[in-house]
Amino acid sequence: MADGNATLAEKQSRHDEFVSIARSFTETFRERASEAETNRRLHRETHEAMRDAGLYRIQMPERYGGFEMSHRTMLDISVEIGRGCGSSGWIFSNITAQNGIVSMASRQAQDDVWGEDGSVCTASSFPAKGGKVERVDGGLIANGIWSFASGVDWADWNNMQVFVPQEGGGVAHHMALVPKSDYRVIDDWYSHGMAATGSRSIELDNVFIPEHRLLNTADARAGTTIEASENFGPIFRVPPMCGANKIFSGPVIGMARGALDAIERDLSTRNNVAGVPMATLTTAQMRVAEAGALIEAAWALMQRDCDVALEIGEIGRPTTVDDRAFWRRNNAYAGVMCVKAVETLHPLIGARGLTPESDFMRAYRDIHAATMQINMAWDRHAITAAELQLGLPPTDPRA
Amino acid sequence: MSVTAEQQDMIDAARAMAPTLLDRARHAEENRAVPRETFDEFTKQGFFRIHQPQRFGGKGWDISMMVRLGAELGQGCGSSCWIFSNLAVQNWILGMNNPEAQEDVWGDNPTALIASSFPAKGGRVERADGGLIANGLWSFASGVDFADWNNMQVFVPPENGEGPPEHRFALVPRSDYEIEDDWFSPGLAGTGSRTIRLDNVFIPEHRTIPSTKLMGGPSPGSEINPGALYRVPPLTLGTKVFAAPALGIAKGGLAMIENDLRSRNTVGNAPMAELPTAQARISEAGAEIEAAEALLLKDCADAMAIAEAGEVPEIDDRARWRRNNAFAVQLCVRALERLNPLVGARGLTPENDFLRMFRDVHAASLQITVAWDIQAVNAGRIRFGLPSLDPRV
Repeated sequence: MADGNATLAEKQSRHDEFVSIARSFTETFRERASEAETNRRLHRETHEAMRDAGLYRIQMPERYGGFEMSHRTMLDISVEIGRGCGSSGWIFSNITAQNGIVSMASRQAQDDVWGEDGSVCTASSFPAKGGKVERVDGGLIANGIWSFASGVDWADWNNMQVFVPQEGGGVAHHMALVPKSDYRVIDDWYSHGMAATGSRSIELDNVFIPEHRLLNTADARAGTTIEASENFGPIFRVPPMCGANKIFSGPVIGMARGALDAIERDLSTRNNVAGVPMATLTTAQMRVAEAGALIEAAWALMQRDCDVALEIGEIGRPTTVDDRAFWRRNNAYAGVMCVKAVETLHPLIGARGLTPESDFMRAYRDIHAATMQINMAWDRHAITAAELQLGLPPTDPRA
Repeated sequence: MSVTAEQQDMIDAARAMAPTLLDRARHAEENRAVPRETFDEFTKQGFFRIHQPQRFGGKGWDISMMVRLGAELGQGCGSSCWIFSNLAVQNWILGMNNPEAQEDVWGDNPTALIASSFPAKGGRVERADGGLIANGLWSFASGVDFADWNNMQVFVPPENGEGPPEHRFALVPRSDYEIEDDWFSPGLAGTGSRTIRLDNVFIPEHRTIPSTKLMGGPSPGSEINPGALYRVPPLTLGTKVFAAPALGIAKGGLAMIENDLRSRNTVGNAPMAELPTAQARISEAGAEIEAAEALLLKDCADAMAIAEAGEVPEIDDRARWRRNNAFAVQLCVRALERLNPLVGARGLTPENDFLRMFRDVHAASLQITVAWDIQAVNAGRIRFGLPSLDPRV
């Protein structure tokens, strides 16, 4: 329930219930993963299974049939799903997190999206190919291409990242909601990793976006958008760029677990050329142990940060720049640990693993692609956190 | 697992003590002993009694408290922290021991403390009527300077002369052993982890407990100590006793470097804090240490959840806790290795706090239950369904 009406035990049991639903999908999604990769999109059944189980609603307001649950729940679900299929985990967490971010926009924007149907999905996008907005009376005009729209195949809306020119110079980062009638999908997602996310671009031609569908992320960070959103639950007080970055680390932890599963399955029955069971090789045992410890440490770190963020949301204090910088550093570091884990396991797959269908190799491709997402970029977030730790002003405008 | 107000007060007290411990740390290292005043202050704060059963006046708190307190105390002095965790953990282990043994130790003196030791220099036991006879040296007795008892690890020869020896803990009172001053380690010197010598000492059966009875689930002591804590396996989850100081030491090392860099310039007169290479080292070390802490606390929470549900941990869980614990120590070692180049040659003095922490964390990582190679291989074997190489897992 919102605003702490649910007891801790109720919350925990609902959390466990959702995670167990997610776990029941893991194997089916794994079986579909190779075909989904070839198709460069998820199976419709995969999306519908997640939607119909209510997984996308865990960060939505109760007013629209949502559950207002912690980022921890999103994290743990995406780990279970990502373990079977990294792209499915990614689509789950991206759509789910957008529901949380739409919930920070104005009440009117939320009604626009969910007024008639609470199962409507929203994707997001970034103007990497040069989409631009300009200020007009009552809103913005958008033109050009917005990319990386993970979930666009299933979404009725897109919450675009836009940089709004300011009168005194410079830009202000906003989220801007547009319905799918306002854009055209460009089929340009040919990545070798996370191919099945179908993270295509969208193109807008002179589209007007009314003011009430914009969310200034600096305001959201400062907590000044809460009144207009009419969502007062603790999760809506965790700024989008720090709570929701678990969108990316969650599936990444899942991918690493999936890779470890594949190696354990393979090595349990495989002999080396001398007829010795691979499982008895000390080097193989070391690799499996190190990968396991790296993954579990990454997961524990993310769970802890989710719990701390929720505590701060529950107290109702705005987050500090230090809170945010360390969450983002840790989030990226969880990615570093998971990449190390699959790199550690990689030599065990052997040349026999070099097939298009190999579960391990797909997880390996997926995790390397997933950690390119800027929220997972270690170099960036390591420096910002250190700047703050050493008493310097942060050089990242989104810190 | 969140902490109670009373627990938070104790954590705050530990945090407040760290600067004093830091001031005394060089002295403790030179003396190869934790100062008596530090021990007295720990006693006064109740640190040693956090895991002791409530029926003897202890708190009976779960093992995460050892990690939380260790994370604070270790920032001041790794050796003092090590003595804290090693004495505190024995009070937990005694709570799982035979009720008669608990009465022997705490019946007249509920604040009696117990150190532990391992026969690395060849101490031996043999079976005798009604117990064991012990002869020789038992080493690494961290806390021996302050302990009233010693809980020795012993390997009991098989009854019929065949098969492997049985691993047990065997409790002996202070009057039964001599202390040999042989602790001249370059790291964790202040722990004074000296050897004890026993000469034909009889140990009654009830003061010994096979480690197979301490694998999680009901223990002999859980009959009188009902808390879930006394159904958590000490030889696997309890290895936090060594990881907790390593965590505190690593946090302290990072703080030293941070403070130093904030005010230091390079030879080219650029502020060190603005060097991206220094920033990258600070951030990676910080993330490693926080990941280690999160992992240690998660293991504690997992183990308590299993015990509270009345379940028994699988061997896969136990091996995984040991693996994670050893890995957390590895992360702490790596963090200080990563920071070491930032000390610069100016740091090469006997008094340098960072370099003492560097020595201490390396010494801590040599304890066998946190030795990565050993724990990693064993956990890997168990993942593949092979038998454990360590009878204590």
